[in-house]
Parts: sequence; structure tokens; C-alpha cells
Amino acid sequence: MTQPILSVIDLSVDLDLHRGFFGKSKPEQALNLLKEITFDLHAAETLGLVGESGSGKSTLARAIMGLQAISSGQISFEGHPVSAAKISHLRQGAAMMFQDPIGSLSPRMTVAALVTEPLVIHGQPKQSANTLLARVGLPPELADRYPHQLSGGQARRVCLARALALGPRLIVADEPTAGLDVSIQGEVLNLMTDLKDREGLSLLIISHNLAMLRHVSDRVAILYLGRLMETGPTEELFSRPMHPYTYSLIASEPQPDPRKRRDDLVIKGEIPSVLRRPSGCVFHSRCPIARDLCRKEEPALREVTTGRQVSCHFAEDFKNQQGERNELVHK
Amino acid sequence: MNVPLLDIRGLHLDYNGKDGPAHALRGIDLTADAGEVIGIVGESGCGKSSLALAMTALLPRNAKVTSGEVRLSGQDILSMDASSQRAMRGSGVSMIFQDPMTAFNPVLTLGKQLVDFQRGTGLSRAERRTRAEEMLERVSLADPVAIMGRFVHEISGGMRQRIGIAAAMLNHPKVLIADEPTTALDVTVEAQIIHLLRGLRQDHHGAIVVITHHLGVVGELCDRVYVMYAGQVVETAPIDTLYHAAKHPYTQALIACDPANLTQKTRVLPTIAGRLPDMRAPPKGCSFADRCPIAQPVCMQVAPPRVDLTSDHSALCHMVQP
Amino acid sequence: MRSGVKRLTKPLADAFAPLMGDRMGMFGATLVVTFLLVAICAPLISPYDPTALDVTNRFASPNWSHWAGTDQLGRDILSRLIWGTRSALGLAITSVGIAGLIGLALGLIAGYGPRWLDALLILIFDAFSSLPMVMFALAVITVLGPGTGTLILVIVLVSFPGYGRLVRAQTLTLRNAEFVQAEQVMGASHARILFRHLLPNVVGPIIIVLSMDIPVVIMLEAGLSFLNLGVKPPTPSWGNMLYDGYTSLRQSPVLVIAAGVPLILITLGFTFLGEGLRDLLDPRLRNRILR
Repeated sequence: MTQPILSVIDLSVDLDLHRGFFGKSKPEQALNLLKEITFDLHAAETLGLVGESGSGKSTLARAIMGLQAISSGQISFEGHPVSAAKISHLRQGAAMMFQDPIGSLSPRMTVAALVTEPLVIHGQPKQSANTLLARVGLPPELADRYPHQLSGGQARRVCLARALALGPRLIVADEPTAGLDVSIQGEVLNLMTDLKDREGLSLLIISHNLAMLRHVSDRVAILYLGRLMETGPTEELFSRPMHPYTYSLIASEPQPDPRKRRDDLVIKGEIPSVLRRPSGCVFHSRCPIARDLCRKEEPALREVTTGRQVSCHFAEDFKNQQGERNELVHK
Repeated sequence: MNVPLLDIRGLHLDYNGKDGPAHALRGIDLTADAGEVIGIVGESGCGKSSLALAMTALLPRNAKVTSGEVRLSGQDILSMDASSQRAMRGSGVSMIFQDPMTAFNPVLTLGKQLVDFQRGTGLSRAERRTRAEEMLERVSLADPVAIMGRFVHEISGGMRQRIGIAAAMLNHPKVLIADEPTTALDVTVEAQIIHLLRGLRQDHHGAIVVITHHLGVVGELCDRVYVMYAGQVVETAPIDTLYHAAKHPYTQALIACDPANLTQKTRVLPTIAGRLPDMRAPPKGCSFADRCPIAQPVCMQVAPPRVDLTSDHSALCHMVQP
Repeated sequence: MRSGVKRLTKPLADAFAPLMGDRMGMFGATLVVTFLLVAICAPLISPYDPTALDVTNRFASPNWSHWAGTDQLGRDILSRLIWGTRSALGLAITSVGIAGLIGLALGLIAGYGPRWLDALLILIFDAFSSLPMVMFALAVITVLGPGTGTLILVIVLVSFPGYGRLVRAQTLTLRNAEFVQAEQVMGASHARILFRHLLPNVVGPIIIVLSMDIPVVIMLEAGLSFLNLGVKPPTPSWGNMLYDGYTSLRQSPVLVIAAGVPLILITLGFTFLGEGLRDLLDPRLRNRILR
């Protein structure tokens, strides 16, 4: 098995709540955002990270890219451990695209300056901005514009051009299609997939848009309230979800086809606040198959079948019950 | 023949700008009857937000209606004076907003606001309070009395939108407009709100208009749909017909681009190439012609006719046949 | 270097261009530019030497050879007004400029640096801003003697905390903005983020405040000069002239009026300019940066 490009092991992130003048807060006063997240990403692979509010998906992206301090666990990029002190390897080999495309571009810099910024920072020879823009299908006329003069789609492509400037092996994209009309979502995604195929780029795409991820990702990981619920190859995960939350997510998606309307609600209740995380399994308060054990003991992420990891005490039971559920996931 | 509750005829709307007026709405015809749920679907720049504002007579100062009417139970609300328009809001037409957080005043309790919203009804305070609490129960909120005393930032997103719906329903409006009601919500909560809106049909005897860019929401909720592009209605049909037998190339492309519809996993997602036309100078022919896969020379030159394909299905296109 | 200067000035130039549409702002800008030109070209346009005495021609009413008349020592009022522009603007721009630079530097450091440094700087800001300007000015002048240098020192010490706090607030907001995080992810050094990305974006509001403070400083100088604690005579200063006019009011009202007019005009000019800039820079900044 070749070495994964990105390896995350037992990653936990806590937020200090009560900061004194100098010191850190006591452990009880820390807010847990992520707990023991473990996954791998291989070369030329796209991993989709799915989560709703409070899932910690953006925190995870920031932690991987070194913007967020981690409390425990390990991140390795291309075999090298990543820490606050040893981050230059990551900075040169990995890039990030942020959720707000226009907001992540420095407002008083032209597009040309923005896309060549990584080269300047790392002291690399200057490439023509137009070449970089052409890679993402943007015309040279945009080079003199300012971020607020770009449309959402154009701004995202500028962010992609900037991310590609140093020739990274990994791109982390936080909600790359948020705010984009359906008719142009494909523009950015197809570009990324194309580059991935041509240059062996790995992609970590964070989104709440299941339908989009289903087409773009090779594997998917599902997050809920800071815990990994399930991971697995995309098609298998979507057609045969093993975790009740995954199933609920997929079944909750509004269907454009009026003939597929469902009368019942698949999942009740709301996502609990991270300040009041449920005990035991964090999903037990909304889970259709929750039992006593779920309230008391938090399940570990374990491999139920090859390549499929699930964090549920009763994953096997759920798997067997699914034959009986006829209103399953779309197609 | 009943007068439709909502009847928009030939609405043309311009926004005054530095470089000349932008023609945001160019001849909108739309009706909604009691008991119907209508969907208005379109992407950014199609004019659906302007249409929502026109329906509540809340247009900004730089907006100018150059022709057309918005009739509520037969009366044109755009030509009413300001106090009549104010009276009409709440009981004639009311709105559920996209972001329930900013739809409420952050420094007043929800109860006070729900009671305030009923000011024109002539009920006593106690009666208004009771009605508010009943409405909160109707939207499936547990413990309505406690919620009346809370502030909007103290409750969760899904609950906020439920309260937004309750607020909109308080005065039994004839037309309830839901402007992107689930866009700001998580998927699992979205499903619940859709479920709630469906359930309201039993109680609500007026019309519901759902404005969204999400085909899924339309598919789950609506009876009839209007598809908007560049300020015009390019197609209208019952939802089943629209989804399974759309005739306008834009509608077809829109449905094709929605990743939820793609049966096979495809690595390359379909898109619609090109951009919206400049609304300050819309093309004299079909607005969609430069992006249309079946465009002919006539499409570039001549504005397309509205073709009635059946009694309830029409499209704005040269290339469709009834 | 040139491109660096251009990078800083282009956004300013962009900011000023739409000022054309705002009549009040344009009016203010015109006044300010006029005064600046007068100050710069004083030696060229001043009809007489402002210190030249002509005791035989005291308190002359405005006439063809002395457009604004003469003062109690026969000096041409117009020339003194013109040269007075130099001392007023020179002092104001220098002191406000220095205070602004200090405030900008400290504010950026406070907003971006470690918390202990921020706390320390806030302490310094609070200490200095608790000084009442005029009282403090009088106290320092008593110790160091009147004069332009003293005035500049006083003004700088009293004003820099206000600017510092403003810049600090802006910096605090921006330091968590996505574009700053994007720069961090790319590996940009702190210095680069501060100078290349934060500074150009915080400079806007401070320019507005600076331009509104210039007439305040001019008034302060005029006031102190009126008390004979400001610019030393015979250097012409509007404040001095006001004092002279006040004491010789019975002989001729011309001097008082003449000295008052430019004070009013320059205050109007900078205020309108500042408000015009505020309308320009703030909403665009807000839409562009803050989410």
C-alpha cells in the first residue's frame, strides 16, 4: 500500500473558553470541537467530507492546513509530520480554497498580484499571471480587476488558480460550490477533477451538498458534532449506508422528482449545540435505532467490512434492516 | 370563475442605475389560486427576488414599475397608497424570509414581536398572545410559552424558521410567500421545514408561493412551477410535467445540471456555458439564445412567443410545438 | 519601489475618483487644494513681505494696493494671511501626520500582535488620551516655552492614541478575515501580512479622521496663538492676527474679519472633504471586507 498523501490520526481540537491574561484554560473549560478523527487520503484521490452545522468540518480543514491549533493527534503530509514548528513542507505542497471566494482574496490586490502571491512568498521564479489564469480558463482581461469586481464563479476560479500556483499535491476545498448556481457549479468542479486526473492532485472537498459529492468524490467521510460517523467508497456509501445518520442525511435531501416525495420524516429533532453534546454516541438523541448502550458508551470507529468504517454499536443490525426499508436513497 | 388570489399581469420592473435602467422584470404573468402551492424557480439574476418584493409592495426607491399590475384578490397593490399597502401586509400577503435570524428584532423577545405583528387585527393583547402561542404549537414547537419569552439568538436555526413561519401565518394571509425558506438550513432541518410547510396546506386556505433556486424544494412542495430566466417566465407547468416533460431548453438544462438528477456517476458535471445577458440591454431576441443548444437564427433576432403546449403548460420559445 | 508606491496610491486614487460625483466633497476638496497651493506658493503670490512694516499706513481699509488693508503695524494683511496659511497648514499637517503614523504603527501592532503587547499598548493609549488637550498644551508650553516644535509635540502626544485605537479596531476585525487566513495558509510572513494586506485596508478610515482633525489642530493653534502661546511673532499666524485684530478692534474691524475668514473656510473645506471621503471609503470597505 503506497503511503497516503495525507494521514490524520486521532486528531482532536479543543477550544479554550476562558482565557486568562497569559494562561490557557483548565481542561474542563475547553470546548471540544473534534475528537479522534482518523482518516487517510491517497494520491490522485478525492475525499469528500460531509457535515452539517456543528460537525467541525471547517475546523478540520483549518487544523489540517495549520490555521487551527490541535490539542492531540497527528497530521502527516507526504510522510512528514506536520506541526506548528514544521510546517513549511505543507505550505509548499498543499493549498486551500476557502468558503468565501471573494472574501479570501485580499481586497486591494489585483487578480494578477493575487495569483502570483504564492510564488512571491516562496521566492519562486515569477510566472506570468496570464498563464496561471489560463489554467483555470480565465481570460487575461481579468488580471487587472479587483476581487469585488469579480462574480462568485470567477472569484472561485481565481482562488483555484492561486492554489495551483506552486504545483501542490493536495488541495483542500471548503464548500467549493456554496453560493454558486447549479448551472455553473460544474465549472469549478470539472476543472478540479480534470487537474486531478492530469496531475495526480489529491482533493479534500468539504461540503454539505451530498448530491454533488456523490459525483465528484472517490471516498466520503461523514462528520457529526465533531466525530467521524462513517467512511467508505462513495458509491457503496450512498447506496448502502451503514450508519443511521448517513442514511438520514441521504434520505432527507429534497428530491426534485415529485414522484419521489416522501410523507414521513426520516429524522426528527435538531442538531444539538456543541455546548451540550449528547453523552455516549453523539447521535443517539436523534437516532432511529438508539438503545441504552448508545446513551452510555461512545462507539469507536471500526472497520465493519473492507474499506468501510462505521462508528455505531449496531451497524450490522442496521445493515441487515435496510433490506426492509423500501424508500431508500435515491437511485 | 373565481378571481385568483394572486394575479400578476404583464409586470415590467426597472432599477435605476448609473449606466441606465436595468430591466429586472420583463413581462411577468403569474397566478396563484386558493389552496395552491406555486413555485418560482430560477438562478441568480433571474429576477425572482424582485418579484418577491413586488408581491409585497416593498420595492426599493430606485425600483420603478414601468407597466403591469400585481393584483391581490382583484386589487392592484402597486397602485394603492402607502397606508393601504401597510394594511394589506400581514393579512393580505406575508412573507417567510430566507434568514430567520435577521428576520427578527434581536433586542425584543419573540413573544413581544409575535404580539406586535397582530397589531392591525383589533384583538386584545391577551387574545393576541393566545393566538401566537397556538400558532407556535401549530408549527410543532414544544413549550410555546417558554419560547415567547426567548430572544431570537437563544434558539436554534430550525426553530427560528418555524417561528418565522408562525409569524407569517399569524394573520391568516391570503398569499404566503416563502423566499428561499430552507437555503440557510442544514439538510436534516430542511427536510423538517418542508414537511411542516406541506402540513400547513391543510390549515392555510390561501395560496403559497415558494421562491427558490433549489429544484429539490420545488419538487417536494409545489403544485405548479414558474421557471424564470433573465426577468422572464420561460416556462410554467404543473410540477410533474415540468420535471418529466420540460420543453424549454433552459428548464431542461437546469434539471440536467442538478447533481441529484444524474443517474450515473459522472466525473464531468454538466453546466450551462455562457453568462446571463446584461439586463440594461437585454437582447432583442430570446434571452437564452446565446447559451441554448438548439438556438436558430430566428431566436437571436425575434423575441420568442409564449406557446401554450397544453392548458396549463406554456413555454417562451420559438422551437417548441404544442 | 515605484510599483510599491503606486500600489499604495492607486487605491487612494480609486477612492478619490468617485468624489467627483459628490458636490460637497468636491467643494471641500477644492477648498483644501486651494489652501495647499496658497501655502506652497506663498513666496510667489504674496504681494508684500508679511513682516514689512509701514507705520505710516496703519489700519488702511482694503484698497487697490492692499487688497485686505493693513494691520496695526502697517503690514499688508493679505500677505500675512497667505503666509499664515503656511504656518497653519504646516503645523497641522505635520503634527496630525506624525500622530497618524505613530497611531497607525502602534494600532497595527496592537491588533495583530500577542495579547500581552495589545494590553500594554491599550494602557499607553488610555494614559495619553486621558490628558485634556488644551490644559496639557498649556502645561507643556509653560515648561518648554511656546513655539512650533512644542505645539507639534503636544498635538502628537494627545492625538496618537485616538488613531491608534481606530487602527487597532480595524486590525482586530481584519486579522480573522478569510483573506488573511488565506495568506497564512500560503506561508506569508507576519511582516508581509501586516504591510501588504492589513495596512492598505486599515488606512482608509484613518485618513478620514486625519482630514477631519486638521481643522481642529488649526483651531488649536489659532487659539494658542491668540493667547500668545503659539507661533512666535512676527511669524504670521491667523491666531496672532486674530489677537491683534481683537486688541485693535476699535481702530478697525478689518483685521479680525480678515483673520477669521480663512479659519472658517479651511474648517469647512476639511470637514466637507472628510465627510465626502467617509461616504466613499466606508461603505465600500464594509461591503468589500467585512462579512
